[in-house]
Amino acid sequence: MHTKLKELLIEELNLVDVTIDEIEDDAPLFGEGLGLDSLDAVEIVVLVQKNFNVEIKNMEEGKAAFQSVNSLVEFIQERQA
Amino acid sequence: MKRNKKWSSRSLAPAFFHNIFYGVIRLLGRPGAYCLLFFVVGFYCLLPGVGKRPAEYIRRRFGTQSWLSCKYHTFQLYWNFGKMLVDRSVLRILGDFNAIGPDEDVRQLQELYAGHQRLILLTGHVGCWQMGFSYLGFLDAPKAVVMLMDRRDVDKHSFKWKMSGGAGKEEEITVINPAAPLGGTLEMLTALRENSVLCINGDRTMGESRHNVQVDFLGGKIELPITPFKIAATTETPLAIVFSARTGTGKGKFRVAKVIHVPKDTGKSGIRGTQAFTPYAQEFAHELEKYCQDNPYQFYNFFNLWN
Repeated sequence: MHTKLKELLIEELNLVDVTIDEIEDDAPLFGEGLGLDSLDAVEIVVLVQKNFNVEIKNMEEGKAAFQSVNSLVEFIQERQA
Repeated sequence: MKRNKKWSSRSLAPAFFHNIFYGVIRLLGRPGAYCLLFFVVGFYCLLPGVGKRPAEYIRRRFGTQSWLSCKYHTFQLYWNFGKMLVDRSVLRILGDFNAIGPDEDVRQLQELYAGHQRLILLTGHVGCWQMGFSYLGFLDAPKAVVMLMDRRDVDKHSFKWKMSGGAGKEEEITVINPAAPLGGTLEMLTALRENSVLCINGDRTMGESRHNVQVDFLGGKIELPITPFKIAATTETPLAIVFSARTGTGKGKFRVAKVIHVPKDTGKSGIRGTQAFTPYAQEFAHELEKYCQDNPYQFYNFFNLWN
């Protein structure tokens, strides 16, 4: 799931200069790390819902899920279980 | 991250003065509050700092003015803003405000909502935008508004009222704070996911400047946020540009200026990124400009947008 998620992030967020290998599993998605922002969060919420059928409803859930690729994968797997 | 902080939602007057107005409204009604307001606005307009705030708008909307004309326009702007605030308080305290609108606009919004089960209303800090919401009772949907609420705000808002077009029921409006983490975007998505009508003000920037684009407005360039258009595109939600003009004592007119369908893949193909949203932001600026031509004293962005 890590690779699929990274592929989706690159595609949906227009990360044109980033490759899958460059996205570390435990690097922060926002701020330092990938440097994503609030509008990227909108894309992530939608892509997670569309591709994994999992909803991120508010900042409380988002705060946990948006830490890194690892935490986003964990969040998705928890909700799918 | 570059922060844009040109304005604050904080009121000019302290809480004490607001409470005086609320008391006058309860005792003497709207006419009493208007009388008191006349002297308060007259006093504030004499303060140099207060006069400077709308100076650039006055110059661009009315042309270069003499000192006296400038004072006149400044007074008119604050006088109309003050009357709007009094009307807003009257609506909250006495439940009295009469908003009307064309039947075709009602039908258009009902059809848009029915077709998508969600809708974004994009407006500006003009006319009587908060009270305009009291007109939306004909839309049987939860409603949410994106609005900066400063902890130091002392004036009360009118987000609880009897919806005029509904069954007379009192409706609570969800307020989403754009100063929250991630700009309140997750809450906006949730509101749309829950089939809400989401109202956003499109004429003020905040947060990260890379989410803004430059557009033409009253002969110069201003920055507008792309957030409403991005959310509309991502969630495939229709976006209606709407304005409410105050037409008289306790009266307002709600109007749909334009409906925009932002394609889902905007910013992902062809022109990529933020700039892809510029045409939509420009359409909003164009409609806002038309509004300012029709209602020159109902523009409440009291800072230099062109700076």
